[in-house]
Amino acid sequence: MDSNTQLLVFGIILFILVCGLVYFIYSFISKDETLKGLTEEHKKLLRSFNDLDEQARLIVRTDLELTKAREEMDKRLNALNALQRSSRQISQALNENEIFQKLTSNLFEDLGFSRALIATRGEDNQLKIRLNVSYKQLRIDSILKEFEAEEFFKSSFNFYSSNNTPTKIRERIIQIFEAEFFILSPVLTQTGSVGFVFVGNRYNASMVTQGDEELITILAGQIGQSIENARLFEKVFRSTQELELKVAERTKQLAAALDQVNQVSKKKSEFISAVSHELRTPLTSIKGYAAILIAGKIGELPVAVKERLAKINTHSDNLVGLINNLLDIARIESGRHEMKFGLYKVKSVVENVADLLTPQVTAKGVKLQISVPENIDEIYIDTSQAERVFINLLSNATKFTPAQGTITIAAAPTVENGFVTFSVSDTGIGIPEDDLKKLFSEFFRVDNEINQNVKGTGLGLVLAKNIVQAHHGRMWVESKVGVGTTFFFTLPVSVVAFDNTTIEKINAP
Amino acid sequence: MATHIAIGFHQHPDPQKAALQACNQIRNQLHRLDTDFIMVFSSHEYATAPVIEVITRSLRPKRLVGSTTGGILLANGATNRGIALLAINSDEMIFGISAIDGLDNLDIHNVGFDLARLAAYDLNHAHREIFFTLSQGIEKNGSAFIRGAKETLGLAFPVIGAISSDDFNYKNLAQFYQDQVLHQAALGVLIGGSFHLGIGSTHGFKPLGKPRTVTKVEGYIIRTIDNKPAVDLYKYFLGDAANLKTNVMNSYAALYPLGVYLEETRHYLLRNIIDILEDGSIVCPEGITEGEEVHLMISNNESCILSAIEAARLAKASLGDRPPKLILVFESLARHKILGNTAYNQIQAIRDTIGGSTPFIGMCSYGEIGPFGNIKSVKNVYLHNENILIIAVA
Repeated sequence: MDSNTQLLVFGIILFILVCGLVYFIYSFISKDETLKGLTEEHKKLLRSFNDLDEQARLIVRTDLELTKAREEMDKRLNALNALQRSSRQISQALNENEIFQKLTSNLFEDLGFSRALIATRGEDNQLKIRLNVSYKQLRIDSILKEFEAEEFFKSSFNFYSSNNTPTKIRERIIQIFEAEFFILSPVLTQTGSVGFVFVGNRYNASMVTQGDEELITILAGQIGQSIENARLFEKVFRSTQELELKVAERTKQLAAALDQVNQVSKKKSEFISAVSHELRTPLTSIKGYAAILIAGKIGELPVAVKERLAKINTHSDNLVGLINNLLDIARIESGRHEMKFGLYKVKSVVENVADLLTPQVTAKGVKLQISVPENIDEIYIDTSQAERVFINLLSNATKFTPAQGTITIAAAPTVENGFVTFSVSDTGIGIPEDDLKKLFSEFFRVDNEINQNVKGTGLGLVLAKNIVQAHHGRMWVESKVGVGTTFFFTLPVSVVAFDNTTIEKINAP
Repeated sequence: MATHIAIGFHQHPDPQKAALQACNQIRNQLHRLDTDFIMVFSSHEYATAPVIEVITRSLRPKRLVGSTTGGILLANGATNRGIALLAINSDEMIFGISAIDGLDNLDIHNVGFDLARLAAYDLNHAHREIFFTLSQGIEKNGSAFIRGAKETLGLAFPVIGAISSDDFNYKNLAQFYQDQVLHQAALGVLIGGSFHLGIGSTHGFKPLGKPRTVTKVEGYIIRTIDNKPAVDLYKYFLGDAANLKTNVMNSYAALYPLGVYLEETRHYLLRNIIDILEDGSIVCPEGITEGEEVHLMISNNESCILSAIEAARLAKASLGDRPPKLILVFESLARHKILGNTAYNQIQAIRDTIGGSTPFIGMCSYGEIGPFGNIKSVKNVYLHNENILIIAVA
């Protein structure tokens, strides 16, 4: 190989080497740039990761705050629910023991406290434990002794919480009740403090919150209110019992008195009945002998004697009438009169009575009106007795109504409680108000000019009222002097009405 | 062929009176003097031997199991106090039960194995449908327990259950087995016979922030995350707002579990922290494997309720057109805490999804054993935290 060739080969090799070197340098520079790029990317990624972690930390912290808030809210909500349940139960308690039976350890667990004591003072002013959660009996006695011995509880027993109680008192409460976190609240009534509510937790529990303080204040208030209510209820209950005893005693006395009255009344009726019966027999003889004498069967009598005998006869008739009335009253009052009830047409009953008295009414120049609605069909009566009521009232009305006056017999257009109300009204002289009250008394007669001239027994209205009452009906009167008088009375439409009136009478005051 | 289901509940302050009232409710519904199977869920105040005596005398159950709980779920709401009874009389469902106590000193894998074996022996029936457990003490090695049970019953056999709970104190836990009140015990119930079962299991939590790596683990103690004391993760996110030192499960940390992504199921498995050690290490049920990525997880009312509806839908779908006879729910107590007073809305949503008039009962637990999703996923069963497990029986 000549030198030129060698030089060429060397040149080519050198060229290749230079090219390789250039390529190597280029590649190195290029890779370095990639590496730099990757390093940058890696740094970015790390930064992103760190940012992500920071964001995650923020998220966790926010989540924690939210969780704490929710837990506090849940706790408060649960406590409020528990308190509401207990409050509702204890507010219904009727005695003090019942109040504390209804407060269970569950309530205090729901309120977030592991220890609780409730004590109240009894009538002897001694503190007595009413509820105990987690304290041993032996410890309770010493707690009460220590509590009673403390001056600051005696002088000014306030609300104490481990959050805001002066250190000295706080430490003493912790010592007595063995709970680092606590609330001690007085139970107040209108008369002052009657005890205390203590709740607490031992050393590793959560702190007492303002919410806890509010809830225990509510609970202590509710207990105080319930104690007051229970004591008031007991007082009222005792008074009521005493009153009931008195009422029972009086009722017994009244029942005995009523029994006596009934017996006297019965004896009176029996006496009247017996006397009337005994009187009627000789009267019949008197009347008989008088009739024989008047008829001249024993011989003609002088006119003057006849006149006297006619008076004897008339007075005997009056006396018989009086005795008959007395007998009827006595029979009805004693229940010995047997009523013969049946269904009768209202219209025919009223018209019969009217027919009977029309001549007497017309003769006096008084107008007689009858008003019986078509829809009132039948009444359930003893017709002979019921007619006596109508006749009595119509006779009275005729007696006291001056000429040109009007007497109206009417029946009310409706049936109420199974009874038809009848009325007999007149445009007569009327009855003074004072006399209205005595009108249905035996032998009472209104003192007026007409009565002074017309004889009467004062038994007619009594008898009428007794007859109405024997029909389970009522009778009453309305009157105005110078205007007129209306007598009202009710008669049943059927036997069913009797049951209704019995119930009404039982319920009547 | 018939199955009669009754539910009784009472919260009289006197536990025995409450038990008697609940029993009376059951008797009024079943109209029988004895019962085939009773499951008891009670708050810790009611977990006493006299209470169990009242139940066994009153209802004469052939088999009784139960557990304390920090929350009882009923058709008309949730409560943290009282005693609830589920009673089943059936010639379609056959029950085998078992119990092993003193779990502190036992190998949990063996406990799972033996518990299932004893329940199978008690069942004495070829057709088995589901095994569930109510336990206290298996939570630190739940996967070993599940493995043990599956070794007895078969890898694809549905194993579900719940860890007993109380009022976040961990001091009042108990299990009820026949006429006994046990502690630190695992109860097994193997159900066989002719019935249909639907399961839905979800949690509704989402990952938050960047993933962290678990850098040092000793057993179920997580020493460091991203080479820092594990508790620093919670300090970073929660600050001083959450008091982590006292009663961890009742602290706000319980609302934010750790989530481990599982490739096999494509779900996040949640882990509560159940303790914090002096050096800043945290304790999780079963722990988390070293090198695993973890996320802080978050949820809210809406997400919880939506996930419950999803679980209910999955359970119902497994039943097809068959009308459900019972809805049984195991829900995490910490998750229940997120719901607060809206827990009723979740119950209502579940009932509306499955069937409004179906008898409903459930308990809140410290851990739930079950699959992700529906009954078809029973091959992969885990001990969950913050989960809701819905079982529908038809």
